[in-house]
Amino acid sequence: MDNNPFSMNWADNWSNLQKKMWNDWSALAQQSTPNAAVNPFNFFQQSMEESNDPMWAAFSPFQVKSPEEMARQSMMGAMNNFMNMSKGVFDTFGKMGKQGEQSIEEWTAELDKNLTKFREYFTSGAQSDFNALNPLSAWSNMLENVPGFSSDMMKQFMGQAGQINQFPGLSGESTVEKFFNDTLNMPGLGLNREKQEKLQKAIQLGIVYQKVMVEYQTIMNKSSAHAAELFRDRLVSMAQAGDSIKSLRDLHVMWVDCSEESNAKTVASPEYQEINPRLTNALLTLQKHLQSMTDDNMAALNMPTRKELNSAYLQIHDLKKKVRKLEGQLKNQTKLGDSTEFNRLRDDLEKLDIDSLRADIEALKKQSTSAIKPAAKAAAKPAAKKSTTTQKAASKTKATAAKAKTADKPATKKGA
Amino acid sequence: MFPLNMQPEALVDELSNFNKKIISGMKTMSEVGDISEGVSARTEVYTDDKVTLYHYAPLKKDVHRVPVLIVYALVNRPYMADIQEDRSLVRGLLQEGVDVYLIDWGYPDASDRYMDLDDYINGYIDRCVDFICDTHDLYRINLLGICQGGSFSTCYAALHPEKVRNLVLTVTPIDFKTPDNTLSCWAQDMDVDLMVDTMGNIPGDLLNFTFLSMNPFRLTSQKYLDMVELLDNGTKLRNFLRMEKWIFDSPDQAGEAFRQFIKNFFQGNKLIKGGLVIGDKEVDLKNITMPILNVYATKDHLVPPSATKALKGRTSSEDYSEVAFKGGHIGIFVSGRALAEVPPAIGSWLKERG
Repeated sequence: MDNNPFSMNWADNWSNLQKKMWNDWSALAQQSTPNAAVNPFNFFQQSMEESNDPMWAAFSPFQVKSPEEMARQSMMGAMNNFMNMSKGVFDTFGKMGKQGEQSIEEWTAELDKNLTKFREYFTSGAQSDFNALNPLSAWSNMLENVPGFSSDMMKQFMGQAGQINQFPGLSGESTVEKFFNDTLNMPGLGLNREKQEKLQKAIQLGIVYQKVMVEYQTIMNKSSAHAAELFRDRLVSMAQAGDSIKSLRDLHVMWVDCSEESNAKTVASPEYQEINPRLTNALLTLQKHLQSMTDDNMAALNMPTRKELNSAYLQIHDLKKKVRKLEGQLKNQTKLGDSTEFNRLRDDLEKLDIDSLRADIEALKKQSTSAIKPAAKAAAKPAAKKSTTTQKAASKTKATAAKAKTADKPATKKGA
Repeated sequence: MFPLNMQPEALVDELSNFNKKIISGMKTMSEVGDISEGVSARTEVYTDDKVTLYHYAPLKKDVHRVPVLIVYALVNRPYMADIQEDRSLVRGLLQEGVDVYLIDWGYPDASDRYMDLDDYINGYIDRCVDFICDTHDLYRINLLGICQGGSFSTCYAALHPEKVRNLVLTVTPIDFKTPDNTLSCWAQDMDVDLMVDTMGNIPGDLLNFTFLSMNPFRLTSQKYLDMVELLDNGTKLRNFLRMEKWIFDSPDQAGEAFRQFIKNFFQGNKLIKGGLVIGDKEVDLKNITMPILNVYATKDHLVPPSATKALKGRTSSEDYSEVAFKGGHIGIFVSGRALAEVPPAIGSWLKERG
């Protein structure tokens, strides 16, 4: 047994944590089981969800869960991550002994060695427990449940494909892929010809989706490997600065920070922005095809199809629009005169009232102030003084009103 | 020396405390009770299909004469603006003497899949505005748009400028193609026709999944680990769960409206480039003449400031102001600092403009 605390053990812990995170992420996306009563192709979703395919789950119908339930589940997931990490740390410390006293150069060399292994591990597709990378088992589960396919035939079919012991590759046409394509391109015959071709098409679209999913997963694996590199760099920086991590919690925060930093870089990259819509579109194309098959089955059962329902919804929507339009026209007819002109007047009046009242108050204040001035001065020319004050107030009111009109003009003009 | 300097005794203590908190926390979780949707007193004053217009009870005697209509995004529930007593934009505005109305879009179902932007903007928003105008004997009111609701409010103000006295926007995308807009980058090559034709309405959870994808480790792992620290405090836990409920309480998106929004706004960027037609009218930002207050968050990862600030100079308004808040997209509504800054800023800005 390897007693070096910095050997694969460290890389294993890291990779386990990343895998756990990925699985929890999938579980979050699969917050509900599909509603079998609504979706006759439940088998398809279930089998895909069993394969921990987060994309498929994200596009499937969800059930609402209470925030307490969601929080409890999420907390348990986070706690598991934390505990896994803690266990890894304990194991490492258990083996560490005096090797923790190694120089920076010694342990960074060990880390780098493991990072190389780690990178290979995450980018070679060796981690077969990432079910997204194992399309054959997912397809085997799925096809066994497809109505209309003979289960014996499918078992034989999948058995033959399994014997070839290869997975569809990222590029080129692998043996399994060729086997699938050849079989699926066979023309249909007889009474079920159309149905058979639709099923073949569904499988072909499923294969396309799986291939894109593998590409997507490869990019995310690179992101995980990059996160490990960031983690290594931070450890080295800390050692050089004489800093250290003293709690498991801080260690977890650092793991999250590194993973987020790497993820942010990945999702902003051109390759992610190319693969992400391609994956979504591949999945939707498959779903759309399955929906048309569902409609065929519903029609065969003399049940309303999605197509028919949509047609009814569209007609209702159009009718509602027409009714709303008529209601609007009726409402406008009941309005008096030119509403724009009327609104402009209301604006002016509103401003005029406030401003003229203020002006009047000011004038009255001035008037009362001047009234208590020395009686001799007030008695000298009372009539003339009063007249001047009133005139000033009146002219101020006019000026304010004119100003108010000017201020509102652009708004009312545009409104017209 | 290797920088993991953890003493075994300290680690045992840490894990032991962690476990204790979880065990006692499970009891607190089971006793937490119902999680409320909004805290301020309000009355349902108007309904239109699944849409409900709420009027909030004033908190001040002197209420501002012209009411404000809050228009929220379709993707989340509007109670984010009133999530708890000490974290409520609505309450902050009420305390400023603002008369507040709010549109609740409800939960669209399959029968709503053909609802488009015309239905939302020239339909529901317009009828709510008319209702408020009739109630208050006004012909125009103030609009306060939040996020996507801000984009809708901007469109409404351009299409019906005579009905909007002042326009307040918060964390509102205007330019949908700024380079720092990750969501926009993801949306560019998405086949939205295929998506809507296949799914009809777009599940709210799918959009949540997309939002979580931006910070998957922090939002699905670290957040819940941090929650453990709150488990022994019923109030804090309830506040956390309120937020949790809000985040995942996402209505489905009406298919046609989603299609139009992605195509015209995210992919076509037509709000600023031109050519955006809603109903039978083109949305021309130059039609916007009323005063505008544009509030944005400097650390917004969903609607970057560059996307919001793009409005400046694109309208005919001679009275344009911006308020920058140092926080994120959600923080602007729930952080204590935001609520000390943002509602008073909006309240005084509105009062100054009648």
